[in-house]
Amino acid sequence: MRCPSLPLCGLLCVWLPLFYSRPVKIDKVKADTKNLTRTIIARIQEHQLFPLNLKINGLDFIPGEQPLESLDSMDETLQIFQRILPSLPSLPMENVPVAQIFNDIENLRSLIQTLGSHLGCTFHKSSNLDALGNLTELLTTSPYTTAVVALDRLQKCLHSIIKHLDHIQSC
Amino acid sequence: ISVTHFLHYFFVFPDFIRMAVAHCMVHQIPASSFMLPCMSPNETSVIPLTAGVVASSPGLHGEHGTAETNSLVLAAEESFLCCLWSETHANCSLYTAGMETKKFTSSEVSSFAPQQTDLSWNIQCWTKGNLELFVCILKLSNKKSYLNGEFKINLLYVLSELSLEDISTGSLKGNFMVTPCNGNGSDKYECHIPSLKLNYTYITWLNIINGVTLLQSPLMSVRPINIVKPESPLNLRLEMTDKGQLKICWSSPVLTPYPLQYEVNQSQSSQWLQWKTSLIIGNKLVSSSYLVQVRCKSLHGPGFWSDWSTPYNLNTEDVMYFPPKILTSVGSNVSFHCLYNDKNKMILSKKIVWWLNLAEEIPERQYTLVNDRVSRVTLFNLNATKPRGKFFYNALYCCNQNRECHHRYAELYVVDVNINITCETDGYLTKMTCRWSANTNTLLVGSSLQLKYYRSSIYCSDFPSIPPKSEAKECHLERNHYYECTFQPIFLLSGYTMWIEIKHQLGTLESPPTCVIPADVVKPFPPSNVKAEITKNIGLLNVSWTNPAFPNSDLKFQIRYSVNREEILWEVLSVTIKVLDLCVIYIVQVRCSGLDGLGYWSDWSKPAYTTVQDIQAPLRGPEFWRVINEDPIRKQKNVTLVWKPLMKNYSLCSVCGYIVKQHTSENTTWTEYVTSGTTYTYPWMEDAHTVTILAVNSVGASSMNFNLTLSRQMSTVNIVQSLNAYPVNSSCVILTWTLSPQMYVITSFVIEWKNLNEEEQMKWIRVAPNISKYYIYDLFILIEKYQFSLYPIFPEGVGNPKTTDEFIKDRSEKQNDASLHVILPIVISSFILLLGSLLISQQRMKKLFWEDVPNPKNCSWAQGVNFQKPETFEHLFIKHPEAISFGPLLEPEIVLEDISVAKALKSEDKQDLLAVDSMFTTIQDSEHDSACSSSHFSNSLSESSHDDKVSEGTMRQSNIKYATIISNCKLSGLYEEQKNLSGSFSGCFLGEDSLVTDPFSRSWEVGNQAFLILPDQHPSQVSKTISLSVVSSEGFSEPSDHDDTFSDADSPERSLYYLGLTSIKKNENDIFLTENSRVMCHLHTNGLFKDMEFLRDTSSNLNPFIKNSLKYENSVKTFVPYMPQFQATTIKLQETTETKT
Repeated sequence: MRCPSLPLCGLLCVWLPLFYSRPVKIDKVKADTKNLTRTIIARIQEHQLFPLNLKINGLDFIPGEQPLESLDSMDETLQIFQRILPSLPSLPMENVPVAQIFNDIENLRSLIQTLGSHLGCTFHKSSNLDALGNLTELLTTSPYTTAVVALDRLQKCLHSIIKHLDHIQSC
Repeated sequence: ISVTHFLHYFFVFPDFIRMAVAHCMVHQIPASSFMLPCMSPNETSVIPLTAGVVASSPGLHGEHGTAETNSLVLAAEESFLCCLWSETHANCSLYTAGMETKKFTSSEVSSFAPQQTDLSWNIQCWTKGNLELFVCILKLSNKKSYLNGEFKINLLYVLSELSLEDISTGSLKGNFMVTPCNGNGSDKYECHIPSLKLNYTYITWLNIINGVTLLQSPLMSVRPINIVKPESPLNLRLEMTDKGQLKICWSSPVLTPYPLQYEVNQSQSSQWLQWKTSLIIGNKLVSSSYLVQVRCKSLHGPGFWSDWSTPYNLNTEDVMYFPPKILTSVGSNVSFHCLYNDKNKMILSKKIVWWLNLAEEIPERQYTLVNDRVSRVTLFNLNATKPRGKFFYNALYCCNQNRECHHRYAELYVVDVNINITCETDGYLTKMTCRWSANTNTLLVGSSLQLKYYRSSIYCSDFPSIPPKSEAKECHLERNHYYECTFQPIFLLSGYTMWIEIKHQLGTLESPPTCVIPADVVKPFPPSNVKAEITKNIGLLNVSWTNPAFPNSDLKFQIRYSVNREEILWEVLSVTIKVLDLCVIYIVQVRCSGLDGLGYWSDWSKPAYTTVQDIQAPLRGPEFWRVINEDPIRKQKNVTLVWKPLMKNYSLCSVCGYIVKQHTSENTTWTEYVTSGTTYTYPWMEDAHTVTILAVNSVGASSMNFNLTLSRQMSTVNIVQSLNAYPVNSSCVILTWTLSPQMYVITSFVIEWKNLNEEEQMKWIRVAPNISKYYIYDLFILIEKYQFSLYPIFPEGVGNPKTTDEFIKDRSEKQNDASLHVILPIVISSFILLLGSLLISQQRMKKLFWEDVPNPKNCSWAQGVNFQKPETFEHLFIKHPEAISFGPLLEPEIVLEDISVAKALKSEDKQDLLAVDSMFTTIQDSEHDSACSSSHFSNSLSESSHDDKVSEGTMRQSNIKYATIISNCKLSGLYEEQKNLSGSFSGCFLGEDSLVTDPFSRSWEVGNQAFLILPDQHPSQVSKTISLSVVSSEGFSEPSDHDDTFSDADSPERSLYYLGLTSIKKNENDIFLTENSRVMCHLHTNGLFKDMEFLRDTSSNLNPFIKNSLKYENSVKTFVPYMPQFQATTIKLQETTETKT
C-alpha cells in the first residue's frame, strides 16, 4: 500500500457529515417519513389514470405485491423503484412529475436509513437490482402497462410503508 | 540536426538502416523541433520498392513499425520523398493516399547523399496552453534553386482513440482530415488542428506541393498532452511571509492538466527551479531595481517550456505595504505589513506608527514588530467601508514616529456581505424559489455575484458552513432588484446550504451560509371550494372549504370575513364565527399554513359570499293598538288595528306579512293574512274578542305575540283617577297618572296622544303596568294643543281611557291674542335688531369657526359650549351646565314671534310658491348638521320677508331652507337646496330635520330627483315652526341624548324612516307639488310611532329606493324589514290627496 493513510481519510470523510448533522429526533424523522410518503402518494393519485383493478402478469420485477415490514425491505424496494422510474416511458403519464417522485424517493430512503441507523441496521444493495438487467428493453415492450402498473405498485408500497412504520422495532 | 548527421547515421549504422527498411515507421513528434529533408522525384523514381510482410514489432526508442501485405504500389513519378530524422533514427517510408506503403530497401536508402536532398524543413509542433489547439510551424531551411514559387502545404491527420500499438494503417484509410497551413510569405508556414482531444492519438503527415511536384512526409504520431506548451505563469508579485521575509509569488496558468515546474529568472542571472508558486528572497531590500521572470513546464513527462512571464520589476519603493490592497468582509480581521525606507534610510519597525484615512491613529496595541524592519498592524472586527466620493476604500498609512508619513498607502476594502436568502416552496411541492437582493451601493464596482449551494441528503446542520464542494445556481435579476433562483425538482427534506459568492478582482468573498429545507418553507395553495352561509335557526356564519392537495401534513387555517360593501373591513378569525348581524351579505376568504408554524401562509382563497335569507321565524309579533271608529250609516263600530313594524332584532331577517288572529268568547277563531301595511280594519261584531297579530317570514310565524282583548263591558271600567301632562321641551312631555283602587289586573297601559290642531293621526305607545309616570319623546310644538289619553289594558279587555287636554296654558294663548297688534311692530323691530346682532356675531364666529364650529347658541349639540373663552378646542365642547335654564326665560318670545311671522306669511303665500317651484329640482342635503340650521335663523327670517330674494332660489342654503318653509304653507313640506352647499357649514333644519342621522342621509344621495318632506307640518302651523326654530336657537332644541338614540340602529327606540324616490319632472307646474311623488321622510323620536306617511308612485319607485338603500349598510338595516308598509301608506296618501283636492 503506497498511501496507507488514504483509505482512513476517506473513511473519516464519509463519516464527517454524520458528525456535522444535528442530532435528529426520531419522532420527527418518523413524522417526516409519513408525510413524505403521503406526499408521493398524493402526487401519484393526482395524475393516476384510473384505479388498477386487474391483475397483470409478466411484470413480476416490479415490486409491490409483498407487504414491506422491515426497513431493509423498504429501502430495497425503493431502490428498485429508483431504477424503474427513470426508465418509464413518459407517454401515458405526461403530467406525473417523475423526476420529483424520484427525488422524493431519494429523500425517503435517506429518512428510512436514518431510522435504520437509529436502530443499528445496516442496509444492503438490493440483490434484485442486478437481476433487473436491461430495464429499458423490458419497459418498452408494453410501455403503457408498465407505466400504470409501476405507479400503482409504488403506491401500494408507500401505503405499506405508512402502515408498518409505526410498528417497526427492528431492521 | 544537419545533413552530415543524417549521413553519419546511414553510413555508420547499416544495421539500423536495414531495420528501418524492414519496418514501416511511424515517427513520434517530439517535444522539440525536428528536420524533414526531401529528395527530387528523379532520384526516388529509380528506387525499386519492395513489398513484404512485416510483423509489428518494437522498433527503436519511441517508434513502432507497421506494414501492409501486398502493398506494392509504384511511387508517383512526380513525388518527392521526404524523410524524417532526428538524432537517433530516420524514417523514409511513404504512403499513398489509400494508406498503402511505399518504402525503401536499405541499399536504396544508402543511395541518399546529402547533396540529393533538394528541400529541407525545420518543424516544431506543440499543443497550445489553452489545450484546444495543436500548432505546427514549418520553416524552410534549405531548398534547391529549381524549386521556385509558392509551396502549398496541407497537414493531414487521423484521430484515434486507440494507442499507437493498436492502430493499423488500414483503419486510417479514408478517415483523414485535411487542414491547410498558412504561409506568411517568408518560407514559414503554420498549421492548426482545432478542438483538440488531449489524450487521443493523432496520426499526421504533410503534403507539400510545389507547382506540380508533390512532396509527402512519412507518418507522424502525437498525443497532444505530451507536447503541451503551457501558458506563462501569471500575476507575478512580491509578498511578505509572516516572518517578514519577502517572497516572489505567481499564479500557475489556469488550464494545466498536470503539476508544473517553474523556472525563475532574475536579471542578475540567478535562476532557480521551483515546483511551488513562490520563492522566498529574504528580507533584504535591494536598492537598485531588477527584473524577475518565471516560466513553467510539466513537472513530470514531456512537454515544452512556456514562454517567460511578463517581467516584474522588483523596484523597491520608499514605503512598501504587504499586501497593498485587501478586500474583506464586515466583521473580519485583517493584517498589513509595512517596510518603510525614508530617504534610503530604513525606519526601524518600532518607530513605525499606523494611521487610518489620515485621521485616526491606530492604537499601538494592534501593532506587531515582525522584525526590526517590518511592522504589522491588525485591524479587528471591521465595519463596512463608507464610500467617500470616489474612494471606496480605507487608506492605511505607515508613518514615522515623528508624524511624518509617506504619501503612499495601503487600500482596505470592507464589504458588507450579509445577504439574506429567502426561499419559498410552491403548493405542488416541486419547486423552490429563492430570492436575494444585493445592495449595489455597498458592493464594489466590478463585483459579480453568484448563488452557490450544497445539498445534504436530509436536514440541515445546526451551524451551516461552506463546504469545499458546491454547485452554482443560475439566478435572474427581477424587476424589483431581487435575484430569483429556482430549484426544480427539489429534494423536499434535504438541507440546501446556500450562500452568495462575491467575486472581485481583489478577491472573492462569501456571504454567511444559510440552510433551507424546502419542506419548511412551503407556501400552500389556498383552500378551494370555499362556501359561506348563515346557518338556519342557530344563526352562525358557516364556512366550509376543501383542503389543497399538498402538503399532506396537518394544516391550520385563517378565515377572514367582512360585510360585503365597498370598503371591506376584514375580521380575521381562526375559529367558529359568531357574527353580529345575520342579515347582511358576508364575504369570506380562507387561507392555510402548516400546523407546525413553518412555512408561509397561502394566499387567500377566492371569496365566498353568504346570501341573506330568513334565519329564524320572527321572535315575537308586533305591538299593536286599535282605533275604533263608528260608522253612523251602518251603525256599527269598525276596529282598525295598527301595529308597529317589527324591529330587525326581532325578525331574522325579514317579515313578509302579518297574521291577524281573532278569538271570540264563543271559542271561534278566524285569521286574516296581511301581506302589506300595518293596519287592518274589521267590524266589531262580538261583544268581546281577543286579537293577536303574528309576524310571518319564510321560516314561520312568531311564537311570542301581543294580545289585545276588546270587550264592550270592560270599556266602561274606569280606573285612572287623574292624568296630567307636563311639557319639558319641544321633544319631551311627561305624563303622570294616578289610579283608583281597583280589583283588576292591569297588563299594560297604552298612551295615545294627538295634536288637536293638526289633522294628523293619533300616536300611541304601550307602557308597563307598574309605572305612573312616562316620558313621551316626540316632536311637540309647544304652542299646539295636544290631547293625551291613557288606556288601562286588562286581560279581559281595554278599560275606559282617561284623557287630558292640551298642555299649553290658556294664559299664553290669551296673551297672544291681546298683544298681537301691539307687539307686532315691536317684534319686527326686535327681529331687525336681533338680526343685526346675529349677523355681527355670525360674521365674527365665521372668522373663527365657520367651517368647523357652528353658532353655538343655535346648535343643539353645542349647547353649553363656552365660546367666550375658546382657548382650546376641547374647551369648546364642555357642556355648559346651565344651558337648559335659559328656556323658561325666553318663553314669551316664542309666542310673539309666532304671531308676527304667521301674519307675514299669509300675505306672501303666492310669491313663496314660486320659490318652491324653483326648488323642486333640489334635494334634501344629506350632509347638514342636524342641529345647526338655526344658526342662520335670523338671516333666514329676514330674507323670507323679501319675495324677490326668496324666489330667486340662489340664496344661501339657510335662506333657501327658510324660504321653503314659508312657501310650503300648503305643501306640508320642507325643501332644501342640496347643491348650495359651498361655504355653508350647517344646513339642516331644526326638529324633524335634525333627526336625519348620517347613515340615513346617505340614502338620499341618489339623484337630483329626491325630496325630503316632513309631513308633520300642518299648513296652518308653519309659522309656528319658525317660532320653534327661534326657541331652538335659544337653547330649546331637543335633548342632546337624541343623537345617541338615533345613532343606535339596533335600539328598539330608534326612529323610523320612510323613504321613497320618484321623478319630479311632471310636477313642475303642479300646484300640489308636495303631495306629488317624492321622498317622504317621517321622523319620529324616542320610539314613538308616527303613522302619517304619504307616498305616491311607490310601485315605480320602491325598487330604486331599495337599491339605493342597499348601497349603504346602515340604511339597509333600517329599511329592509319595513318595506311592506309603503304600499299601505300609499293608499292612504291617495285618499288624503283626494280629500284635499
